[in-house]
Amino acid sequence: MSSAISTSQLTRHFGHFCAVDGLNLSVERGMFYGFLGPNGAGKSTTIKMLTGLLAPTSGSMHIMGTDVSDPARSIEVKRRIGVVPENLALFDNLTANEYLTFIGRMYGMDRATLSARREELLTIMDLNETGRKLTMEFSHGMRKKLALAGALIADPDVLFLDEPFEGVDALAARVLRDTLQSCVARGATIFLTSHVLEIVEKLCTHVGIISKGRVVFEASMEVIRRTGSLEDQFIRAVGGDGAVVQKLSWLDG
Amino acid sequence: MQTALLPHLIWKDLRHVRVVFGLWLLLLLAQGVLIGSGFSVGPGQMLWQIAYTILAMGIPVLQGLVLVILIPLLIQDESLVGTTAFWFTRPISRGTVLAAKVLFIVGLLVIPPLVVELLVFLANGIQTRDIVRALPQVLYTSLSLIVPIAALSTLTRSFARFAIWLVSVWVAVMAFGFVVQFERMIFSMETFMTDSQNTSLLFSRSIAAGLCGIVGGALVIGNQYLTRRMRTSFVILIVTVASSICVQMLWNYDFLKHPESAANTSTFRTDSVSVALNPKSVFANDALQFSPMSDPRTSISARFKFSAVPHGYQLEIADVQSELTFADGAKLPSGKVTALPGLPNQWWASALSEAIDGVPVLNGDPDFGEVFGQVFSLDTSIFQERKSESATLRGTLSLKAKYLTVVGRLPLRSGARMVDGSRHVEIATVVKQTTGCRLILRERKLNLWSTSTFSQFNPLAGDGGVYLLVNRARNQAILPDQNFNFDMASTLLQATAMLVNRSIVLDFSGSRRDKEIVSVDADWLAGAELVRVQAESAGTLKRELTADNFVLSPKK
Repeated sequence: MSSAISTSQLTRHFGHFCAVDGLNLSVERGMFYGFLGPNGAGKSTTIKMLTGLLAPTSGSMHIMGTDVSDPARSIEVKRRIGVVPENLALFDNLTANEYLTFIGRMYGMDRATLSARREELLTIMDLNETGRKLTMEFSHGMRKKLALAGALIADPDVLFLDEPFEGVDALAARVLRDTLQSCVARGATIFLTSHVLEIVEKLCTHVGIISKGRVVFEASMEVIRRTGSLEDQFIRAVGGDGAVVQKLSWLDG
Repeated sequence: MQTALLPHLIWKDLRHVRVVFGLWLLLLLAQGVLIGSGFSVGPGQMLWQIAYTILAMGIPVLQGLVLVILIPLLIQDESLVGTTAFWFTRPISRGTVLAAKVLFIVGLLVIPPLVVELLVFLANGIQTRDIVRALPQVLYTSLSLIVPIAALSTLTRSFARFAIWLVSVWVAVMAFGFVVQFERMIFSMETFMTDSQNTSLLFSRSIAAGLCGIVGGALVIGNQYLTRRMRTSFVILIVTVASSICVQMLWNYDFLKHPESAANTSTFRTDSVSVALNPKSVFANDALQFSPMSDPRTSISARFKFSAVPHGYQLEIADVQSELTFADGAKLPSGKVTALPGLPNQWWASALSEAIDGVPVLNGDPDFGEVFGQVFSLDTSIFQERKSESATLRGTLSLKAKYLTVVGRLPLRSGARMVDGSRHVEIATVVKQTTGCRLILRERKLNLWSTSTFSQFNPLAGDGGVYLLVNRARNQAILPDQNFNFDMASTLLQATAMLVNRSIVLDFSGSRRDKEIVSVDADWLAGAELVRVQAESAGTLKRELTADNFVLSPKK
């Protein structure tokens, strides 16, 4: 059985700057994969290429065995994935109900299934009281939950989540976490980027660390736990352990 | 393309822009009611004139502004620039999104104005033939605004950037246009003057330039949606703007011009028509000089007298090509003569009289039957050298023949109506005065490209027609006075609406140059009717002109 996500020599240049440099990834089906890296390491660029937001400069990528860069098959791939992008890509002038209905229709869902899943998602995400409120009036946490509901409604095989826990309060984070774990338990594959190492440590089964456009570390959480903490591993991988910590003069002593 | 998704995408877009779209629809309906109701304001009603003018001008301007907001909202909801668009990560093809946007624009922004105009036309008794001619004009007007805005919206991420681009492109086009026009005024003034009098050529140029913009804009939109190659789109945009400007400046094919055929000799006997020049009327003046770099020129004008013009017809000069041969054998060809095509306030009393069954037009100008026009153009230095010498002038005159025909008669009372094709005329008010009367007419007609003329405020300079008061019992007819009643509302409407309701004020004093020719009293008016005489083209002809002993500046 092929990998859920695989890339080979995936590269993306922005002018002279190389954001992703010959990335080789293999994420097996059913994995909860945490993709970590410092700011500007290439996490978002990678996820944008995998979800069709950005074309790679070179290299190949496959999702559920299908070539993503083949325009003829890209629609087929997109039917099988769910995405929560960094900017969420909600429609400001729709209500939560309308937004989920619209997404369900874009995936060609039948009316009954769509209605049932929409109600269930709105209940789980605690959004069923929002009524006629437009998404532009939602709090950041509500918007994140709605974006996740939108990514889940078509029951995707692979979920791409770009910083899903950023700016989310503890209550909303708990809901998101529980929902994602249920998805993995059902056999979905999740590819997640985050700066919050504690969350990755709690949720993910596997971790990849990217620095300067290259994967510098990849292991299962079991292995990481055996050899120390994720934070130690992360700092070692991105070359932060030898860094001189600068101190502010007026705070020093 | 995923056609099943189209209704959902369009519904989502409609939800997104519903407030702005609603406002646009309201403005569209308001414009339809304003124009379609046939409401017009008389020249005496100052307050109403101001209110009507504000509405007539304000509504179309507001409609345009709302479109400038609505279209970027529609397109940028799924921005094609950057990596934030919803549909990039969803199973929706590029073609489907493009089709949804096109269907939205066509279905909700292009078709409604067409329908409203159609209803306005039908409610106002416009003939089917004219409706068929008007609808492409309505379509063009919509597209020439919508497509460029949509094209610019596909190239920008936010409304702020769109606005900056819009202003930049507009300023660039205006600046370039100004420079080119200025250059033409300085270096080729004669061509500039001739072109600026040719309404149909000016319209042809604007339409051709607008079509360039529509086609280029559509290519930008298609390229952005189907490939998202920004560089290619920008190249197409620059080529489109440049070609639109070039076409606007250089286009010379006048596709709106009525085809001029040679006069039909079976109905109009041209063989005996001759033309002579009245040597006493020769008049020299300095030609307008716009460029300090060009040599000063002198323009020679004269009165042309036509003979044996069949009754009911009149002639006008379209072009003159002439040459002088001096006594020493020197030949001097004329420079380009600025013809005044269709100078509309020259009505020959004899032709008018013929059209109204021989009833004499009493206050006609005695010079009717003659045409005053430019005959020669030369450098002022040569003029000064030769101005007193006798020469032989030989020239070829291109002439346009027109026949005058009555297209409507109205009894002299308020509410009387006439219909001439798509032109509807009603007498709104008859004000009888001690000497003569004042009539206020309401005229409704289509503002078609093919029949457009510059706005005329002079009742004698109507669009190819003239109104007369005719008293058959007394065998007398009079033309209206040459007065100028500026109707701001209808003039502005002419620039913004297809159907124009305008007021026309006609003063019939029965005098000419303040001298009473006929007493237009209550008895005279009781037996009078209002008649509209229209000039119809009867074809073209050429005549040779020879004038011996021609002096460029004869002693008076």
